[in-house]
Amino acid sequence: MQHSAIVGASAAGVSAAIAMRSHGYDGRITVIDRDPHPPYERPPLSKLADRTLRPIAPPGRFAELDIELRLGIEVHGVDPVSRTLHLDASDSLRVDALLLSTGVAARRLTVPGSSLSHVLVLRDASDAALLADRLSAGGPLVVVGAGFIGLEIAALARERGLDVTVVEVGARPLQNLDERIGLRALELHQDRGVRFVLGRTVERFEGVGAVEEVVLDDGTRIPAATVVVGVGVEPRTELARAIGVRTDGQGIAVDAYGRTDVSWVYAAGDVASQPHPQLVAGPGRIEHWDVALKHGTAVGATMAGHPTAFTETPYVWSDQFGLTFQMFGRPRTTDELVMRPDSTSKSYLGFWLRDEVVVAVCGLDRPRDVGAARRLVQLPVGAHRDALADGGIELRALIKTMTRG
Amino acid sequence: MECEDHVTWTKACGTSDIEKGEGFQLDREHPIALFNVDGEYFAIDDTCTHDESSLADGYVDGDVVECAWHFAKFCIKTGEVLSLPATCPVATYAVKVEGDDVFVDLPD
Repeated sequence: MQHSAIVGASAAGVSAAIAMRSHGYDGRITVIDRDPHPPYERPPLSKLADRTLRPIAPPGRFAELDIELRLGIEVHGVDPVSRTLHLDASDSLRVDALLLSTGVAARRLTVPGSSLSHVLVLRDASDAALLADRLSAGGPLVVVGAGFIGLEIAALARERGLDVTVVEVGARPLQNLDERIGLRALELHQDRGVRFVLGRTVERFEGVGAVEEVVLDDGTRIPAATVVVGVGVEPRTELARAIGVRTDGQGIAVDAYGRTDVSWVYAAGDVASQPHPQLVAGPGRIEHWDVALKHGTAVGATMAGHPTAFTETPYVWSDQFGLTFQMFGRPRTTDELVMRPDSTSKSYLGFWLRDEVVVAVCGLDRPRDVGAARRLVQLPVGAHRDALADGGIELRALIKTMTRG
Repeated sequence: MECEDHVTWTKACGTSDIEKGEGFQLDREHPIALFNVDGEYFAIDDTCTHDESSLADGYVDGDVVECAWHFAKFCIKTGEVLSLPATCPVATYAVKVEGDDVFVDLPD
């Protein structure tokens, strides 16, 4: 019987396993993960920061689909010639095909004091459990990095009444997006009492055993009972490199179907450096949960003998202070953002244009509008450019006109 | 055949409240979403089984509604789940139209 192993019980790994079955793959499927918890969704970890884990699939589904879970198990090595994975306790698995959905690891700082207790990152369930404990212990909390993860944690902590300071090296939150979006996020957080120190980096953490102060590059000292570092991620490519699979600066290099340069090895999700049509600067990672789920579904279909290219528009969302930010597409800083005129810091809708084509849309607290507006991504704006910014024109009607061409 | 004795028809809305390709939320303790699929009306649970978003706010394509938050897809006619991240179906309810009024068979 054919045997496919999936390393990483992530959104990509689990959706790939399910897709293999729904495309009729009847070989053995083994999903391996060092994390001992049944496969869970990561987005709620930074949005709830409690100990409840939301399963990706109901507990019985894996048995129903004859998908074997090997959880709390590490892959220590691999023999590429015999296609054997070496697991804990001299256990090994012979496989015919391998999917690497190993994801990314949270980047840690290397400044002095980085290994003090209560200097945390947030990536998996055990990180979330630690964070939940620390939020219960009270503030002050210092968040390093004003990306989505940092802002979500800052919002959560403020909602629980903690004193929160966000330290960001850039001039505003969400550096990679248009200034208006970053400034609106800043305003929303400041209104709720989050303090920001912008344009500064962390020089060191000080404390006896556990962190007590964060010292910035200008000498400023910020008291801290807990620090959360949210400064990006690193792809987990160790296993790929051990097999000799090609990696690029971004992750495991795959084609549109999730195939690597080694015939029996595939990669999906955050760890994959993929040639997505909306990554105009070349292949790269797309670190969004929805993408991981859909990329895994496509690559699983490929592995089951139905080659499926992943081309869907990337989607990301973020929940802060009860408001949901949503974005479709991959805007570049050189794209033009056109906002609907009824936009405020608590509710807005915007469209990015590049060469008169809508390349991305975003909204805050406008799920219905964003759901409709996403249909415009990749469509030429044509004669409707002014209508996008005209509050007098009803949005859904406009979208229907534009999608009909 | 359904036994009329056990049916509790509740007036949900007028036919003009649900445009083609749109959802209508019947706001009650257990909200219901009504849809107009090419002139035929259907009712399902409004709350997505994945998170807590309103399916009436979702995007309708034929007889499929896609949740506005995380894009789980459901069949409006059967309640069946068509796409992750949801894994459980939504309940469906019988609908009838009398004149310009839409009625749903709701459990007591």
